Amino acid sequence: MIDDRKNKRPTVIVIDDDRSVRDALKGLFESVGLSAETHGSVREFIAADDPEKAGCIVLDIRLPGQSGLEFQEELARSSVRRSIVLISAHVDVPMAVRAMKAGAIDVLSKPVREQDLLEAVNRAIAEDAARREESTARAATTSRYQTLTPRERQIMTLVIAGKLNKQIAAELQLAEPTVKLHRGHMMQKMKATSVAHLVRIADRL
Amino acid sequence: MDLQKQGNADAIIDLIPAMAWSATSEGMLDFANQHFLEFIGLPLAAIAGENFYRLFHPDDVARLASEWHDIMATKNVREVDGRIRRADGRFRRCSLRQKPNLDIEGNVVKWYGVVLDIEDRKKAEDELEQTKSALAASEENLRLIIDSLPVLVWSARPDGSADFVNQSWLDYAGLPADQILEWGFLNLYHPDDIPEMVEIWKRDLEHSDFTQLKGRIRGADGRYRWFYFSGRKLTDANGLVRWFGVNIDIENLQYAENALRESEAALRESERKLNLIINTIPAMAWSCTPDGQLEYWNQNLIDFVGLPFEEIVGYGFYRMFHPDDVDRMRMTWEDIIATRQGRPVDARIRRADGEYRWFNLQQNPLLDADGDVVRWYGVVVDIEDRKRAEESLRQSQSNLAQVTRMTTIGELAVSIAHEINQPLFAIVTNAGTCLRWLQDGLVDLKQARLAAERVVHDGHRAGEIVASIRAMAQRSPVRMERTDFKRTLRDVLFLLREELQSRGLQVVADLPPEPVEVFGDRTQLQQVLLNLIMNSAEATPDAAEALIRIACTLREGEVEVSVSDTGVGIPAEQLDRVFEAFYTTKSDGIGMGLSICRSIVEAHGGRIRATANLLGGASLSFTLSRYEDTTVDR
Repeated sequence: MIDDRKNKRPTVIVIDDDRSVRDALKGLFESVGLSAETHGSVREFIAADDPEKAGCIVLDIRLPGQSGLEFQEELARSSVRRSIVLISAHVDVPMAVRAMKAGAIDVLSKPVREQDLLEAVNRAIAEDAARREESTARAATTSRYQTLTPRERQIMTLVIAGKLNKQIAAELQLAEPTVKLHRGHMMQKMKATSVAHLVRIADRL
Repeated sequence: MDLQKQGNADAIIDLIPAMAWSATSEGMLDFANQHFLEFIGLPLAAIAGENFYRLFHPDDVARLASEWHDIMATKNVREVDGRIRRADGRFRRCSLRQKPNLDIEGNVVKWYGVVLDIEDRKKAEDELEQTKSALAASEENLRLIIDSLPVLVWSARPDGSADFVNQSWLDYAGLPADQILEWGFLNLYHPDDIPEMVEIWKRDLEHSDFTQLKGRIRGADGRYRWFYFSGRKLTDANGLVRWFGVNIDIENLQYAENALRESEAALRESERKLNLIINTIPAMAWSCTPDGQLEYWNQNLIDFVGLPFEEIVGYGFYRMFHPDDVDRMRMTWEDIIATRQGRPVDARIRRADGEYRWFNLQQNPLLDADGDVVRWYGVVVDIEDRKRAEESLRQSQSNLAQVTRMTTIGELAVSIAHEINQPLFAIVTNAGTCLRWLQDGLVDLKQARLAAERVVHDGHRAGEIVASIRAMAQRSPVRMERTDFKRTLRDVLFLLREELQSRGLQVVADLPPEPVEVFGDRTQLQQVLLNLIMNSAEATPDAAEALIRIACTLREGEVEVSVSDTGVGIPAEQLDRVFEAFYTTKSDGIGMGLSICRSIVEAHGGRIRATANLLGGASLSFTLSRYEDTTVDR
């Protein structure tokens, strides 16, 4: 149930010091079926933040106290990943470059055409979703990897490196059927359907 | 015949009005006539023989006896006076005369005589004598007086020549009478005076009974002194004409008179000059009665207004003021009259050609000892050019204020654009949302209505911002009126919100709960607040606790507003200089901001000052007049 609320309806978090803007954005996002919550400042947001909440952040660059840009950069430096759409009354090139470098989905200038904003928000939500999926997959992969025996891990490394069973057997001074057996367990534990699949899974480790 | 003759003779002797007697050759009285006896009131027997001596005054008896004996011895008759006692007992002076009847040989047969009562005659003679001596004494006295009078006394003949001068005359001239009498006196008159004096003298001699003239007479010391001549014609019973007169030394008087005349002339001259000044100075001078009625106005004004004095005298002068000024002038003047306190007042006065010019009217009461107004005096000075210069200066200041306001707004343009962008963005977004809720298959009127309501709200907000910018930017004439200070401040903060936020500054407004209404021009007051807050903002470096505090304190009749910051502050020695024009500490400032604030505040009748805060930063505070219902437009 909890997972459902968190994941099924992504939430757009609006951080803007202007109440009219907050209210307008909230109304807009709700009209397209998104849930939205609003905050007047970064501080207010941090106090109420639940990082597990899916969705994105629509952040005003100019904010009282810590500015949107600074906050975004701070987030980027931390391990927490959030999809952020920056909006501002006037966006200049250096500001946009700085924001994009820090990983912003988009930098839009007010007044934003609603379609552009919704598209950016959708992209951000998608990215968030993808990242969350990725993150979930990585966690699963890691926990599967933990179940491997040392021998299985050795063989997995060599399989990913593109070695044939015979080569692996020679390298590990094992009999080829033994390698096959371990490899079969390993592939099963890692839920890999093919070598290529395994390679992709291994990327997440 | 003889007897008859004898009888007739006796009757005559008895009846004649004289006292007759006869005596023997030896001098024995043997007869006295009836008149004699009646006079003495005694019978003959009582005086016969030598008894007649008893008739004489005791003091005269010896002398008369001696005389009688001598007469008898020498037969040398004579008249002898002596006092005889009359019947009433009084002694009366009598004259005794005698004559002997001689025989052929010349021997005395009988003596005959008469006694005449000369008492009355003697008395008259005595009186005459007394009168004569009294007259002489009186004449002497008169001469003494005339000679002693401290004036020159003279008499003259009908032709004008002098026939008498008194001692004072001689003493004054130091000359004997013969050099003065006749026409000698002319030599002593001052040559410059002679023609006129002689002319008057001759004229008066001929046509008048008196004369008066003035002239200088040379004294014994050779110096001339002024004399006043006064003479009168006298005609005596015989028709004889003489002139009598005195000359009075009026040198000192004349001196005083000359001095007086000179000072009078000087006074007249100074009066003339004053008049000239009053009528020539480039101002209009006037005077009014204690109740304020015009009674004098100098030529300048008459020339200027081109109205005859009769039309402005009294209270007529109001008609020369501009129609818009008349009521105010009437109230002001009545107040001045009532309070007896003069004060300058400006008004427009109509020139003869119909043009109105500004004048400054000043007046002062002349008070008597009781403090009552005797008269009002005043001047009216043409200040049209000054007014124009002031107006021009005010215009320049207003333009400058406008320009700097525009500059400030220009500097704030980015912030202001952002500020307008916010509601615009909200509007566009809300409008889109609204449309979305109206899409087929998705219709949610409640949501659409909410979005539309937000559009309206944000639209109003955008309008307010635009209005406040326009209020700041407009070039409208200064309007001093009832102004809501809180709203004025709110508008300024509205404009500055974004700017202050971007600088990371917090503004705290410490306002009283009740409405704050001031008397002033909203745009100008906004500019003052804008300048002060922006100054504080620019003086405050980025810091977490950066704060601008705006406080408003209500006082009796005024409001004090202060803008305090936690910025770099103002050095103590420069606190007084910050309001000077072109004084600036900013590299890009022109130094007009605070100077304009000061001129605006002072034009509002307030004061502005800068102080250093105890904990760093500066405070700028200014006062404004509170608007009260009793406040009248000035």
